[in-house]
Amino acid sequence: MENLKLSLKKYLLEDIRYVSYLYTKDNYVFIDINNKNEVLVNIEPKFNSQKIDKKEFLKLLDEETKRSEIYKANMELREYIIKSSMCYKPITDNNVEGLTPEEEKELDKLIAEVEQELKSESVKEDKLEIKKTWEEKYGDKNKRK
Amino acid sequence: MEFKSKVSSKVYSLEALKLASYILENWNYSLKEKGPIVEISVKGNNPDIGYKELLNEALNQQCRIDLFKTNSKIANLITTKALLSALGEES
Amino acid sequence: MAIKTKGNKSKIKQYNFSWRKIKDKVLLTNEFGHYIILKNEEFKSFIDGKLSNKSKTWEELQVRGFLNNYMDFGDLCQRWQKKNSFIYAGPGLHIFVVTLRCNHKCVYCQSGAVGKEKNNMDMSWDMAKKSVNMAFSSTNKNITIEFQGGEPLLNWDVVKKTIEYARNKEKSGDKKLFLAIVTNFSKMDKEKADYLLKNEVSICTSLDGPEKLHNKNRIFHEGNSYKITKKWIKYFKDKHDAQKNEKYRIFKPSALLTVSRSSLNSFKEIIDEYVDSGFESLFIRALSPIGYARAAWKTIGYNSAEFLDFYRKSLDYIISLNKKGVKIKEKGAELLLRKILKAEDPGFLDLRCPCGATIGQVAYNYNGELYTCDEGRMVGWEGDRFFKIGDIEKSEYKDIINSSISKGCAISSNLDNQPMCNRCAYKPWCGVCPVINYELQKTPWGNMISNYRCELYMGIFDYIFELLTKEKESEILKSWVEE
Repeated sequence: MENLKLSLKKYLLEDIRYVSYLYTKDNYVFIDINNKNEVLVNIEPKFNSQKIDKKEFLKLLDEETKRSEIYKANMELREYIIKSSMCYKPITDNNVEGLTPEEEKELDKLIAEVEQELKSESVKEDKLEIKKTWEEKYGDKNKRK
Repeated sequence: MEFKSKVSSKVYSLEALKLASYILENWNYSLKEKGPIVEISVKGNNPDIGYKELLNEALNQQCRIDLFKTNSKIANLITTKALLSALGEES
Repeated sequence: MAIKTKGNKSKIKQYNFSWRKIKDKVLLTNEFGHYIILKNEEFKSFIDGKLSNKSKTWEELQVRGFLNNYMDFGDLCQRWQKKNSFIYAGPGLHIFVVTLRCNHKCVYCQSGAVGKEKNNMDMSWDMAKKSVNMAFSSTNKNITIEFQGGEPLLNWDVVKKTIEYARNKEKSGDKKLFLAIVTNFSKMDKEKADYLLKNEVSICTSLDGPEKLHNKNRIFHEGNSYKITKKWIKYFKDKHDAQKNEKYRIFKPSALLTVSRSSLNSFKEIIDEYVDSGFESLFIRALSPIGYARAAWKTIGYNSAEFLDFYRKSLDYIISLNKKGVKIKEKGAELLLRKILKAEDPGFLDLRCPCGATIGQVAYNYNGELYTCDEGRMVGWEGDRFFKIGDIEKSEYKDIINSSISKGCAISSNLDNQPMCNRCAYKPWCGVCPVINYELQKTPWGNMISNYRCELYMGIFDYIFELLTKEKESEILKSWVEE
């Protein structure tokens, strides 16, 4: 049986729960919280021959902590991306005619939003000249031959 | 035979414990939430094993509940889209 | 076009990703289906946010959507959409179980087949007609009706009428119809064969290996199952190879391999059998411990480690044959590679998120009961109608989509709702099966930490990615998905 004491100042309870869950295939896992706001994880092997590596548990917990930080930081962005992806007309055999007028409007609106964000951003470097419009790069099209 | 114990409802929500108890057919479970504690009673053969299995399964359910808090919006979007497409979009 | 995302003030530059150790390297994947394999030190720098933004690795991570401060939304959204194109279409596969009667007694039969003398186990013409109407109500513009059983040729009259009716419906509507039949050939004759060919019915059979192994698995008291199978495979293949100016297309016959315990030591012989039979691919499928197969599991089944050992050896052998110029692929690997390398949806209903239950396929039982899928139907045959979505006599199309079990399967098979799957490196290409979860773990949600099917697919993905890190093997695998 292995006992681990983990501080909720350092780790989130959800992350501790998930990593503990990973041990439930071959072990019985019991989690408790003491009055010092510490999480006590008790891991009891189902089969006698197993040994629990505490360092491995803590490594997994560190990785899970980093993973959940990244996911939390990207929540809004992910929502935006998935919604944008779903707005696009699907490329299937069912439809090869192109966008409907409503979908074109939606797409134009999305593009306008992104362009607005670009213009309002102050960027130190723009090596790839992504922010420059066609006109800024090559001059007004009326002047082109 | 009976086994009794208690767990912190901060760690194992009553919902997770209930879901777990429905899945484990070999034992009879009684769950009572009393503030920050859930009292568990297990009846059947090897009720102590029944208790351990309950907590393991409850952890599975609790992780799902935890995930629901962050992912449900996107998950529902995709699932709804798939079902609506199967129904026909005007539905 | 790559766009700098809105003023990213967060320290966190990484976009969501998952990772997994592959031998001495680390595989990173994201929900767009992009992947990259990094050395351990590079991975550690990346996850700690210390990777140099001047490095080539940084550039590659950027292009593939692993960094949130520079994302090509056009590419990523299109890629996500392409990968998930199935969520925009309704059920395409309609499995018609036209009879439960069968004249074989396959040791692993999951279909619930009964003896051919049994009464009242055939789908009536009336039910078949209604089933065609239901299939054509699908929102999918492409419909596949696949005749299964038991042995479908034992109900030939209904099969024939159904084909005619469905083809006529196709002519008067706006859907494309594909027809297929899964048969053991024991009731095949020239008349039936020609009829099927003229109506462009794709032929599929089972071939479990050389004669001794095939006959051991597929017991046929009225004759030699292996010889009959080989005879008709040759017949249909010759017809395919000889086609010139026919008004109809003749498809190559296909065969499925079901791996039982008896197969585990014979990977070479099985693959050689497929090559000798003129097949260019074989689908190495693990047995699912559901239906009647579950009762016989001790004699016919195996654990995931045993299957994966068989699978790895088989794939190695297939690749070695490829190196010698022999054209043979493993179909399952090909389907996964299409997903991984081409971000395609190859129509593999077993691995989708959400899964294909009802929204991808419907199983029409001989007695008019409708199920989420064929596996769900097998559970129903055991007496548990958990996966029943309706009845052909009473239900309309929208009823079966709206049924609570259809919705339940869609929700429980969404990997964003599964704790382990949500974090898994193979999430972009994988899927869960609520039926197998229910049969083995008592809920459609399952518990992935000890899930047999998860172990199988994890092992298959691991091996495919391991091979993709080796130059020659990778070249061969990539050639399998080049058009």
